[in-house]
Amino acid sequence: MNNLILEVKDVAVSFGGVRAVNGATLDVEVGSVTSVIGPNGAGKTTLFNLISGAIKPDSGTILFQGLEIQNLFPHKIADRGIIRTFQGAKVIKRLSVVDNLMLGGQDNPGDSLVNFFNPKARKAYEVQCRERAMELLKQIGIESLASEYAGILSGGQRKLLDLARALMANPILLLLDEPFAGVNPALVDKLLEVLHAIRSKHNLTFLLIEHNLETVMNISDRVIVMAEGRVIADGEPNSIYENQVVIDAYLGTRKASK
Amino acid sequence: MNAFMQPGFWVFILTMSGIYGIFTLGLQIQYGVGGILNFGHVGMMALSSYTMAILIITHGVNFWIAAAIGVAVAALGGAFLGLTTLRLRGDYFAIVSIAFSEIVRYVIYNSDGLTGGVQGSLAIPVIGENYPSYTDTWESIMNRSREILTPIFGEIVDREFVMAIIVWTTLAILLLFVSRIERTSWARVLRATREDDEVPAALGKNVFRFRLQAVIIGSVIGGIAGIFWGLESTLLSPDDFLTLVTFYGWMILILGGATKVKGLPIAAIFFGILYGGSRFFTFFPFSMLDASERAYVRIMIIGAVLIILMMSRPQGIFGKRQEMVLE
Repeated sequence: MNNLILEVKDVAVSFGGVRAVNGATLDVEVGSVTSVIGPNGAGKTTLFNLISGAIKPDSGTILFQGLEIQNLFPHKIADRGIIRTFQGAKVIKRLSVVDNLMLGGQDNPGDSLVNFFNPKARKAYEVQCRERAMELLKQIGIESLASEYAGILSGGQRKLLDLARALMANPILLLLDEPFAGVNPALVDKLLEVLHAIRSKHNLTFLLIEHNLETVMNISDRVIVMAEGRVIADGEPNSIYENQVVIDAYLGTRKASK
Repeated sequence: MNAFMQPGFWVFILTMSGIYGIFTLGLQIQYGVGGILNFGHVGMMALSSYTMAILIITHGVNFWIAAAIGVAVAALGGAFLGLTTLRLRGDYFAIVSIAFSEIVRYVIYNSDGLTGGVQGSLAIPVIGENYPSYTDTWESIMNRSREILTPIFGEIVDREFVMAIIVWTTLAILLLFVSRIERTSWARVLRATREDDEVPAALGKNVFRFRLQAVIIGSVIGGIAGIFWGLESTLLSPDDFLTLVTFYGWMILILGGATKVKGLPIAAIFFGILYGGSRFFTFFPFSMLDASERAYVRIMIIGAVLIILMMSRPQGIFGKRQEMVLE
């Protein structure tokens, strides 16, 4: 085997008396688009926080490219190539739009104070980094706002910026937390277009969280369904529709509404 | 009102402003860029000036080496403060940092053998001997500088004048240095951490390292201010390092615009005039108060200025409003 890029094994974490993730096991194949769906409180975002290192599991292991990562600091996990976006899109409001993107640049010599005395290396990187950031801004269609504070952006633009910033960091595995939630249909198309473009250009693996199966039906290779902190179903999008456990737990109203 | 007419008074104000300006620059990089609420900054000044004085008086160390070690001890103080408490969130760090500077002050206060305690920097006069002083080397440097500067500036050159020039040259160099640092990507990451920890961490930035470095750089600058403080006052006392001094620095910072360094020197001079000049508030209505009461007027005015600024111009003289208030 190892065309598996991410393996989550029997991971559990509780907050006080609530077991947010309760023995979840799942894996993600290299180059795939895998979606995690589930009702509110299913533990989807907690799962993301565990993978990205924002919280540590009580038990279980998480392997990325075959190596354990569950005890690493978030920035170490990001260094390995797991980059996430945030639910509701987080931007640094008091940095300019282009600075937000440049924040994603990896191995920037200017991030180290020692290189304060090496302006050549710093500036060379900055020029290149800015160029790349502008290119991405053009791709998401907000290059005219480059030097504005990110705090003035609309919700949809913030989502695009969050995604673009994640791309700046050269991810191997991209974790998208509800990229389509609260986004108008026209912008969903735009986001999908950007995602498709990235996918065909770089060999990225996507793991995304969504609320609704419908939203991810067409773009996912595989769908994982979570409920009450566990994985209850796992398979191709179409098979999820027919899965009785899922229908009971989550999509129960679908047939009735048709 | 006579004192207002004397150039010596203004030169003194200039020197004090410059020292406070350097002191505040340390806060600027911590708060203006990193959003770190350090209310214990005066502790760094205490550490550096006392270290220098003790090394020179008790151990006969060369002035330059003693000053350098003093600044290094301030840096260590910053590292200690950062390593132990920087993981706390903003307001909690602020509380602990006040405690830090108060601990430093109380240790100085109570370690008679080491610091001279309440009496001031080891300056316990011994009968038959000279008054122990740590400023001998500095005074000779000042005298030599005076000889060089007098032909250029004329009669106005006295000790205070030389001091003002040295302090402001140092401030100018440090301002340049800090404004350069604030244009690096290091500062960009630090600015991001001012608002949010998760985003920079998720992009591979070790947030703690950036914050710690900011605190240490700020402490080094605060330490440099402490050296000048010690040299200017020629006698140290634990009461020089009350938390109030930190808040003077905060006033200058907010007045000048926390997010930009360029307003800082002007704000420092404004503060200096208010600080030194308020003792000459002998006209009505201040004439109704006696001298010691007028000393409190200055603190009241400083407080009022801060409140008015926060209400009407939170970005200070030069700052960008959006960078302060954007939500």
